[in-house]
Amino acid sequence: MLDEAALIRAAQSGQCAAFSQLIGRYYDTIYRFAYRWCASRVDAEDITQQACIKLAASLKQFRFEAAFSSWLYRLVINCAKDWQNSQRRHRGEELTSADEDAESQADAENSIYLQQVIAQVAKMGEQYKEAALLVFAEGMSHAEAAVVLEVKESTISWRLHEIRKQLQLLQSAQPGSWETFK
Amino acid sequence: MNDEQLAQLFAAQKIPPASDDAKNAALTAAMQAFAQQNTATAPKQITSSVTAPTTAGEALPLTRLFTLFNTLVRRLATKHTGRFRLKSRAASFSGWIAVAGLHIGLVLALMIGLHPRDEMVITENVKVEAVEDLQEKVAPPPPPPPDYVPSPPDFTPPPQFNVAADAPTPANAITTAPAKAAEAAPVMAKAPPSPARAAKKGLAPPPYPIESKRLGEEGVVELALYLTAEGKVQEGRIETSSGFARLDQAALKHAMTNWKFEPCKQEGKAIACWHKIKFRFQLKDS
Repeated sequence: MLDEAALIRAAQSGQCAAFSQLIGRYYDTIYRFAYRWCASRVDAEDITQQACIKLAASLKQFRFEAAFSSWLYRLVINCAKDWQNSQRRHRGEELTSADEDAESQADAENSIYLQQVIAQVAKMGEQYKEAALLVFAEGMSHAEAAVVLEVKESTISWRLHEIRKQLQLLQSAQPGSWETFK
Repeated sequence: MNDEQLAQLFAAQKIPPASDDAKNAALTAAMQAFAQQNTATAPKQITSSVTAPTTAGEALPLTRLFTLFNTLVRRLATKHTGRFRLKSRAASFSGWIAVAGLHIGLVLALMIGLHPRDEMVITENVKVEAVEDLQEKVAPPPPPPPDYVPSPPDFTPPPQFNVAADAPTPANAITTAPAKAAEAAPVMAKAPPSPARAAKKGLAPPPYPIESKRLGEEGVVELALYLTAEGKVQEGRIETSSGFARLDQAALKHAMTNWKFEPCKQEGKAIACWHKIKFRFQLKDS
């Protein structure tokens, strides 16, 4: 089995098998991040498909200057933003809906709570949402998130600090429970 | 809410797996895009960019001419200025002179030398057609009016003097010559033309120039107008000025464009003639 760099180089040289193996290896990662971005399985599948197509088209632009995963996250974030913009054009701002596939009631509540948090962060700006998803959801360090988002590490730290402040304000304003919405 | 709580919240998130159909569709679409991308960016067969040398009789295309010119200029500039870095004033000056000369020569060659034969043929054709059209379509200009000759004063016979028959004739007396008067009689045989008259509806007075009004200019202008057989004013001139060119021109321009007369007649037949008319510019009338 080829290592990641060799696989990427083989795919860049035009080997379909290498590309197929590469995309199979990263499909779940892409889908997971897309789901966390949009909180909908169907939409996440759409975003993932677009990301896969974009990966095929732009793989030769990867120059091994950063980790492939960082480059790939950047690509998926761009696809997710494109999808979000197209959805806004088509059906307004109704994007914050909990996924209907949640199995249990606890999962549903957790999902709703998480979506409210993400929605609150998204109101601050897409750059805050990106930073929150990469650090809190994907478990990246501030430095790694800074590489993905092509900003300074201190910028990531500042954004997360602002997110914390905003969430605390929200919690203090609505003690006890979060408003549920359908 | 701290970072750990947020991380736990995300970790506890249930993410439903993607459906197999969606995954297969995504992989298929990606593979198609990958194949298309590699087909599109496949290395093309390198073709030589060097064109075949032209034969002796073949004309140089314009693009090739420009390429040669640019190459020559760059070589000259490089030689004289060392890749456009000025080594000395003399070198740079001669280099720029050479470049300017080449530019001028190229412009002249483009203006004069390109296909002169074809241009001549086209010009000749155009000229021939234009002359034919003019001959067919343009009506001949009306004959110029004859020069204005003031009409001679009406003939008045000299007074008859009754001379006494018995009176002696002085030596230095002035004698009339009846023979000369008899000779002049045939000249007056043809009846003089009747003068032109204003049309029945009258002549509209020329407008008083605003500037003349403001400056209080007044005067009488006498115009000589050449009337056609239809009574239209064909030509006019100022016979006696009013003293103000503005008034003179206003009257003449108005007469040329607006006035119409009943023509002169000779033996009952309308003829063209010169006609004199006066117009007085007076402020109280305007």
